[in-house]
Amino acid sequence: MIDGSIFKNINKTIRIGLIALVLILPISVLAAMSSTNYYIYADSVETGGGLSSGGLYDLEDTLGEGVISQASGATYNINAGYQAMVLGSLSMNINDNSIDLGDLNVSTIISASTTVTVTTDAQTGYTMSIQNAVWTGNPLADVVGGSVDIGQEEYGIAVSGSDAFFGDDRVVTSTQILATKNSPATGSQTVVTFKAAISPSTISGSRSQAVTIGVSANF
Amino acid sequence: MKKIIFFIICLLFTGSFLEVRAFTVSPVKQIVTLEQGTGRNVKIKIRNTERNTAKYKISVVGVKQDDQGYPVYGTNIEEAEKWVRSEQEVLEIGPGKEIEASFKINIPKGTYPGSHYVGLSAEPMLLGDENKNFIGKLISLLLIEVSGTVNETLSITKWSGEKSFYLSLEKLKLNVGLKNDGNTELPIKGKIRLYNWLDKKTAEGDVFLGNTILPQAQRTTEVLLPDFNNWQLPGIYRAQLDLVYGRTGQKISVQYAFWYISIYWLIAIGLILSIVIWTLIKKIKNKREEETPFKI
Repeated sequence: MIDGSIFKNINKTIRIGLIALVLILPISVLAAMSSTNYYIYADSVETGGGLSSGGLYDLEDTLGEGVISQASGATYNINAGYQAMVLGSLSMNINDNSIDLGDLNVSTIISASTTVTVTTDAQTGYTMSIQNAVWTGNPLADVVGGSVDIGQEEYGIAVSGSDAFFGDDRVVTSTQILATKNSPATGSQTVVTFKAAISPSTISGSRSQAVTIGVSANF
Repeated sequence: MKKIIFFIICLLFTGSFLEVRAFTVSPVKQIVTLEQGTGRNVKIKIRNTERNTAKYKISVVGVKQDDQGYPVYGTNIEEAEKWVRSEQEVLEIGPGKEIEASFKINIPKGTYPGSHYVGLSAEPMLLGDENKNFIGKLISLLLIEVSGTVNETLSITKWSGEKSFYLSLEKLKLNVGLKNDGNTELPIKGKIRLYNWLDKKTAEGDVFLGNTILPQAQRTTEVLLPDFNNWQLPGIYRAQLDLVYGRTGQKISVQYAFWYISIYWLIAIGLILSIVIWTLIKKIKNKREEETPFKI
């Protein structure tokens, strides 16, 4: 005969277990808090919400694809006649302006380097990037996959130094940042290395590329 | 023999020194505010720090901002390039000397108020230019503000993590997307605050979102969640990004919600559940043994 007390014991044990679980793992509520303020949960890039006021912030959403939060904006007047200067200087030194890779062959990667040294007392630091890269003659193919490989026609640039912006081989193209620092720099050296490799199908002949870099303080 | 080697070393050292192309530009940045239809002259100083007289090309370049906040340079990328003209194309500067280069700004009539950056650049002209294929220019930033009413508006286009459930919040990266929808640059500061399901703040920290955001520029970056005690209550958490931006000091806030149960809590819950289940099974077993009659 089945004794009903077994079910009472089971229920009691389950109740004890559930109470323990509830104490440890509370059920959470996604809804607004108990105050009059509410928060916009931004777990997607969709717009939403409305006006949240009180506390420290005024927040108003505007509809628009891709915007999850946008302040209503504030206007002020710019008056003419103001002029200011952020004192400080920017210095650059390039140790070799002639980069010559020599004769290329299919069995090796040829590289040549120059060192750019930057000094600035600008509090925002500096950025060095390629402004222009112009080929004369048949251009070599751009590097693919982050490294110039033997036997493939590839051409790229690498940088090293404490301010180097990247660690692999990149395409030599305008706007490519080479080095940056967010604070003043004294004699910061960046070694800029050009690398090239060719394949058996690479068109023979001389070619050259003129690369202009620009250095300025950060905004 | 030693004298010959020493002489060669001196020659090499001297030779390498003469290859140096060093110069300095100042200031690093200047700001002018002008009315549309007016103009002004601005100057930069160029110092030749070489041992020989050098010539420098003086020009104006366009400056934009990439989505990480760094300046990028080019031509025909910013309308303000056409407003600024260098008053000299080439400057010759003696060794150790400094000369000013002058630029004339003319803001066309009908130009809308707002801020614009251009670069005032100096580039050494090298002997035997045909063999010199790696050239560097120094750029002094010029911020031109056209007077009038400007609008400061910032959008947060992204604020999210990789998942919606975490076992650990150590080195948790959150993705931020911002856009300056106004017509003036916006300096920006931010804080992250973490709230648990009881609406209690459990962590807080400053975040660096890059320097000022230029008009119509976008910014994408990653920030780390502040340090967090792993024994915090499990449940739903909200990471709140609070930004203060612009000269008007406007504030904007956005939240990202996620579940968090630390591995330690999972182990503890697992142990408790195991004990409960084991106790239950034992009780049922004992009960069954009591009910089974003896067979004689």
